[in-house]
Amino acid sequence: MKINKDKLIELLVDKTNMEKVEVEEQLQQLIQRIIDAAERGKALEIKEFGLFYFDENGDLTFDPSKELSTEINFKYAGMEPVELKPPRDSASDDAVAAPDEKEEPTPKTAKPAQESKPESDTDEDDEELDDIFGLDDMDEDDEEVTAGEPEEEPVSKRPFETPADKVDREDDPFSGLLGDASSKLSASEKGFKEEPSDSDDDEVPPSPSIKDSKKDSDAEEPAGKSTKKVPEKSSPKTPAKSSPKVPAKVETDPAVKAKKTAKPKTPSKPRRDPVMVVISVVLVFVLVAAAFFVIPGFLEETEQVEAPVETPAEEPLPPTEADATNVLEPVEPDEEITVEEEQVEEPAPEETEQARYGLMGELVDDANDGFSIVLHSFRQEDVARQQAAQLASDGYRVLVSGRTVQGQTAWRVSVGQFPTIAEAQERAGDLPSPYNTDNFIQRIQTN
Amino acid sequence: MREQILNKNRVEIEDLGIFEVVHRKQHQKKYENGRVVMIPPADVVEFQSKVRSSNEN
Repeated sequence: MKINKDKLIELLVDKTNMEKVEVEEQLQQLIQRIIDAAERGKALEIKEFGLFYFDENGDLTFDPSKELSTEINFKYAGMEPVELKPPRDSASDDAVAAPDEKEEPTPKTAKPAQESKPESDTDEDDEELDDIFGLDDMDEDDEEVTAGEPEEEPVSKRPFETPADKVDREDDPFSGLLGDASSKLSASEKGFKEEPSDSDDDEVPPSPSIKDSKKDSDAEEPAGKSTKKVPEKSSPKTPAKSSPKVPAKVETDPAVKAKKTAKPKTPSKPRRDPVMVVISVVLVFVLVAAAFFVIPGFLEETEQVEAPVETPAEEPLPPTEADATNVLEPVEPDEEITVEEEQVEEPAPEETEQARYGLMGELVDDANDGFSIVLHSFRQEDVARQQAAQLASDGYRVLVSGRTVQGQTAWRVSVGQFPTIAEAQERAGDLPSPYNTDNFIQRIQTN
Repeated sequence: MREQILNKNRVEIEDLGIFEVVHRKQHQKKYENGRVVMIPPADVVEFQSKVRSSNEN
């Protein structure tokens, strides 16, 4: 809507109950004062409105006051720039958009990766290392850019901590991007040697099979990482990770196999020695029978879990037997068996749960360390809650967060929980028409 | 005038200039040193002057 001088005078007349002539005179005086002051080389400031002055080109310039800017920008109040890429990496990386995706996930792995470069020799590992170095820088920078975000890191750490021994490693990874550099740095200083484990943990909790199936966008990196993680982690302490020093290449291959073939046990058996094959077949039969008659749902779980574990170690004699013997006969590798059993049991409950991050479904508390797509911003909480309920009824993960700026609170309604800004941007395009273009992304804030 | 600007209306005053609220989308800014920063969206007031300094000439 356009407001010209006449319209403005009318509005002023209505509002002040003054004579039109009087308003005109006053407005003209105001304009004249502004110009006179500016021409004298002085700036005229109108309180809570702005500053008028002539710039070096001789044009009248207006700088809105802080109050006016804040009120106009109320919808986005409190949003601060977020550093996506640190200075070092930028020189090597060409594209701006592409690196964003990688960098955000990398922060998780960054610190551990620095110290533990040696384990994986593959190209992917090199990329991760690069990302990792970049991440460290980012962390420091992030601290400078966004002061209030450090608190979020601990949140990301919590979910992973509960599972098992991996707590410390997981802390570093994802939250690193925007969160406190201090916390990350401290984690890195601790000396975790496993790069992929951190990042993997954040994205994909314990079970690799779940990760692979769920994440399409991050397919390249996460898939590789997930496979790698399984073997690496098993070696240290946690159940999910079996063989630590298996080469990365070998690990990646099994992961692909696991995805393609739902039942990997049968194909892997023929490769083994005849004696072992016979034993394993017998054990498998016994296991299957027991599973069918004793625990109905147990068979499916074991197959799914065993698949990734067996494939990674292609010199598989011990692992397969171990799997079979785990349930029935604890003969040779007792330790490995126990570890594998734990793996089998852990992933099962998580499979039933929804993905940690996503656009649809129920809110996941553990995912509050990520980003969300803001669709609405209201001054009244009731209206925001109403809108949130409507979005929730459509199946979205809806968050309502309030931010107080100069005594006024903006209630933002956002949807989805995403680990990275890039992923949030990508999913924002999938939203229905007004939302796919009219939105912005913010770090999730839980008040 | 302030009220109209806050309502995102375009205010044109012949003797002075045009006040307009412009929305700037969220974008990425790349610095020379390689830093890439995500700039959040913002609504800002833009002023187009119709007055030039008489001292200029």
